[in-house]
Amino acid sequence: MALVGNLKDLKVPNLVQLNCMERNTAKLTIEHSGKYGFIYFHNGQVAHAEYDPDMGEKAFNRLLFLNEGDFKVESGVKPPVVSIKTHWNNLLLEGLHNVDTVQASNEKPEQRVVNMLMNVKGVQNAAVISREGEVIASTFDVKDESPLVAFSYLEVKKLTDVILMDEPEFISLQKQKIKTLMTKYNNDIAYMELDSKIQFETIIQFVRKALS
Amino acid sequence: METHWLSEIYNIDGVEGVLVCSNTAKIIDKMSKVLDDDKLENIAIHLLRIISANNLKNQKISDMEIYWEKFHIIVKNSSQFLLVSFCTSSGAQSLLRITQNVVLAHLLEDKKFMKMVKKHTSEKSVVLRKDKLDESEIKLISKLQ
Repeated sequence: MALVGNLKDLKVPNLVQLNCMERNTAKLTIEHSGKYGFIYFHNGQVAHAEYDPDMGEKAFNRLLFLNEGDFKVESGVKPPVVSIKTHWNNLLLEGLHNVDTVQASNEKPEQRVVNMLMNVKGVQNAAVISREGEVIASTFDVKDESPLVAFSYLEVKKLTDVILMDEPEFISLQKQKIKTLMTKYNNDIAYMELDSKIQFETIIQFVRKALS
Repeated sequence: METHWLSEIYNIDGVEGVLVCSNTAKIIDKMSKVLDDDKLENIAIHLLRIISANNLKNQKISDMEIYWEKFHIIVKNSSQFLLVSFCTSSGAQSLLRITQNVVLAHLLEDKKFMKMVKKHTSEKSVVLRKDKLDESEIKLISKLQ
């Protein structure tokens, strides 16, 4: 029978510790804001992790940041591949050290927002950009893009003046293989690059929640 | 002129207007209950500026959607003209997107229509001319180049 619960009650590091110390072979599934993450254990070692768009240790480290969401542990499920070879003890210690470091440097609310947006299913990159085109916080190198984002937002703002409306809630641009989404965040612009397959109507509710 | 095709979009529940404009912001055809020609041309200019600015960075925009709580603008971009719809109903978005794709394909195949569009098409981007932009726009554009 699967163990199910919420991360508010049992955190990811505790779940990892529990499965490793019990020498379990199991699959841990975490659902956060509609996005799924997976950690596979094999004979008490962390063998594989996935958290879109990452795999391996990078995915594992990102999953350690989650403080809420539903989880399920299914015993006996073997990993599809082995992407992590670091001993679970070291993996967890390094991961938690990373969480502490990032949280200490994440005092800026914009960085917190960016991290929240990255937890939304379908968001591949996120940034907060000022209306002058400066990058305030981001998860990727967006410096070249930021004046373009600010210019696009400015033109939409001017367009809204023509039709006597307030600023729009969302602006979506489909470029070759990238779908982008912009929305107002305080006096700045929250900018996201999305999985091109994601439905706009699905993602906006989670983006609203992350920004609220 | 191509009102037959535009009416396919205009007849969708919630659609308040639809227009086709050239890449110089010349309104080629339109059906609208709420917006006059001046406003439509103004809207087209701002949409084209976004597209042209992205082109400067070699990023081609094929679709653009702008959402308010009860109003949406949905734009399809071919390299020579824009197809723009104004809609008040969120329930018809999927149908509207599909219909816009179909109408765009038909317009691209319509020789008479394309001849008309070409009369108002420019190889150079005219909407980003510095004398047409304000200071804040010029500042941001200069950061792109």
